[in-house]
Amino acid sequence: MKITDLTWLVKFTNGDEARMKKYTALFVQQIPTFIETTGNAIDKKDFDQVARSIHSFKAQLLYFGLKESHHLAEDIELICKRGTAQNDIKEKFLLLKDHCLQAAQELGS
Amino acid sequence: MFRFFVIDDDATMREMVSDFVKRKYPDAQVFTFETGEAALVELHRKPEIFILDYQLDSKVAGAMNGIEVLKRIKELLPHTPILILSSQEDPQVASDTILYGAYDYIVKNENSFQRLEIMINNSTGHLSLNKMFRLQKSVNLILGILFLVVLGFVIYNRLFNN
Repeated sequence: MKITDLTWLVKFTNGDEARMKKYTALFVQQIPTFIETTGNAIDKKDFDQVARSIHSFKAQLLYFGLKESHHLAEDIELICKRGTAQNDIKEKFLLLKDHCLQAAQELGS
Repeated sequence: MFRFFVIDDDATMREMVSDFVKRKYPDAQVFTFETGEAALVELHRKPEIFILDYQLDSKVAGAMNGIEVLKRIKELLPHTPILILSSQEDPQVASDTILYGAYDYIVKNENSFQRLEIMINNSTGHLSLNKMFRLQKSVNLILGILFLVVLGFVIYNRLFNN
């Protein structure tokens, strides 16, 4: 089952394939950096950086139809900001990472 | 023709916002920046509308946040509308940006571009009105000066030609 849903993007671009490709390429291109930056920040327990990285990236998840991943990202950001239940972050991030990698595979093909 | 400054640390968002503005306002000039610092050194381009993200330090560590950039712009260009476009849903952040002079606060979600268009229309409407008022003021001033010149001429003629 596909994790991405391009309904919003099609509407936003009026079905202009060139623009859709441009935004998709930019999104897919940012995924490895996002995963690396956030993963490193989690390893270093730098939760401010985790929150910053997630915050900056999460809107794109919505625009590419990854609603569940967006909720997950919001959860992680909130946990980082509240400073509670930080043990859950790694587990949630691994799930978010899987979502992003799957999205990259779907959109890249 | 309006000049837009789009400030967002996310490359996809910068492109999407920039393309959206260019499509809706084909005459507009759009300049994009990753940080507030980069935008502030380009103010000589006389931007007329800002679309500003709140969190700007995800790529450049220590970059000014949206409120700091907003305050700086308001010091330098107090009448220029600034629309905040952010993923930050904290009401305190939203109210702070309005308190410091933002024209509106728009949360990044599926509806944000519709709201952005409305707010751009409202703010450009105000800009057009302001331009019209300024033009009207100039016309009034010229007419006033012209009236005084004519009046002076009439008085001069009456006094010295009779």
